[in-house]
Amino acid sequence: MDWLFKEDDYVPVKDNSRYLGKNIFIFSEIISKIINGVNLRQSNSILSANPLMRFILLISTIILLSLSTKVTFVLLTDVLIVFTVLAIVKNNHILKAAFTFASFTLIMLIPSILNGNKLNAIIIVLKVFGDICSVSILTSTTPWNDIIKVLKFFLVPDIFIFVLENTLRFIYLLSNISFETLCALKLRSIGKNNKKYTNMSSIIGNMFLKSKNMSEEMYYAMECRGFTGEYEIKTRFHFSIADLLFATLIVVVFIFYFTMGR
Amino acid sequence: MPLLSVGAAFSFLIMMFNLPLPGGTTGHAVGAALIAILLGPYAACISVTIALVIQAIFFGDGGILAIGANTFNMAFVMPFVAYFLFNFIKGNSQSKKRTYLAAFIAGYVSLNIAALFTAIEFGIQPLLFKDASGLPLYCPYPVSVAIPAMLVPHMLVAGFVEGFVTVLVYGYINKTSPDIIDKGENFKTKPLYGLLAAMIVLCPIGLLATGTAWGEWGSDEIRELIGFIPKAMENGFNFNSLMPDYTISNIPEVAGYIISAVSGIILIFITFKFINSFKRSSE
Repeated sequence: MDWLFKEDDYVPVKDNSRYLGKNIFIFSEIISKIINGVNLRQSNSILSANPLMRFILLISTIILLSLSTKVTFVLLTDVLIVFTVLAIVKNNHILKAAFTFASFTLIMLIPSILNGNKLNAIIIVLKVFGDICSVSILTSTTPWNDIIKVLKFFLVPDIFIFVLENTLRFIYLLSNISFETLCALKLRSIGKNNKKYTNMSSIIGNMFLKSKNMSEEMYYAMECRGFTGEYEIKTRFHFSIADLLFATLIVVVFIFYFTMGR
Repeated sequence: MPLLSVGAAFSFLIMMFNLPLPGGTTGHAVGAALIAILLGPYAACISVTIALVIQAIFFGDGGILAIGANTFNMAFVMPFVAYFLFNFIKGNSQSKKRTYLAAFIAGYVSLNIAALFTAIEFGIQPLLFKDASGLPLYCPYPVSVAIPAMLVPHMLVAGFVEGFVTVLVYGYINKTSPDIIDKGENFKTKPLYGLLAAMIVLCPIGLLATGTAWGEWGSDEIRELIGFIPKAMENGFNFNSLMPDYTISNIPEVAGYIISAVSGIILIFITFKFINSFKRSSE
């Protein structure tokens, strides 16, 4: 019984296990992004427009932005996009993320700028900023199932939609599993872990085996319920005022491009 | 079919796993080599494509128009190189050491080849797009800068991460349930996968190649690629910025010749593909 009363002087060896915390953070982020992405509520009447119109606006903005070589057009579009983020979407994370990406691009272009290629480099940075903002606007205002619906309109094959949709579900499920496993590993990690790579690859391997079982179960369940692999859109296209607004925006972007963007 | 979505989800998540690097930093693997070995190259091709699409559309990491270039490098070049290299080195031997060595080399080499392709795509940008005064419009770095900038960090660091992940996860699965690993049998019985993979991969490249005809080739995806890089290839970035003393306009004529030849071949290939699909749909 003596040992019970003795003071322990165990000092665990310090170890750099930042990767574990980082992983746990990343997986919780993925999970929350998926939950938010699927459950988005459209609080704003402007944002209730048909996802198709928004998608077309996004794609045309990106294409025109990338084609343009004029700084005025790019700058103007960027200003409009930032205005949209601030006034309608009200999500500062979008601007922060876009700013980070743009700064990275700027760092990468420094040697080129020093060589005298100033204006084009600035245009690239502005384009990156505008693109990332506009994609984030779409994903943060449109429920993800709606985006998948849009793909059907563009005649994307059913098998692709099927795989895409289920991938999102599996990402959610597998993220949960990895999140829990990583937490378990973190709780049990005391002192120095010399098998970091073995640990991580075992988690990845385990995830693969689990996912394989899950996919087989799902396949049988779907076959039993008579799924044939075909998707149909049941909702009809209603043209609302919000849609008209987006249609006008699309036209405006094109007019801008052809008057001052080329 | 459900296996594909699992493969896609799996490859998405592998890209999310941070692995410790010496010096307390972290890095991540692409995982395309691993999936190619586990599920076969066709399934890997589709899986990684979808993983990249989801990353771009739903998570906003990486450009929408860059999907073409990204999938070509990471979902097409990488899994096929890895798969054939793995089988080539492994041969018919049952030796564990040889199999693991094959897995490592497949991961290491395939990532570097994918990086090389990316570098070439970057490098031809200044050749193709110039403004009136001859300054590059998009990516300003020529092949002679882009290739070492991409390859050196990949050869020194990222390739090893990819190789280790490939061999360790392969080893784990081989130990726990060896029967799951693709033996190449379902490979011939399912030509559908191949067709689908070709379609998915060729669509974006087709977009890219029709652009060439208009002299706008790659304008979209390179800018997007730049946006994508911070996430996937941070190393290439820093290296680039460390090299201020290069010359922009010194591209050897031979390189330009080879590049135009390659893009010509791609263009012809796409045209044939396009005519074929047009024929099929009219029938």
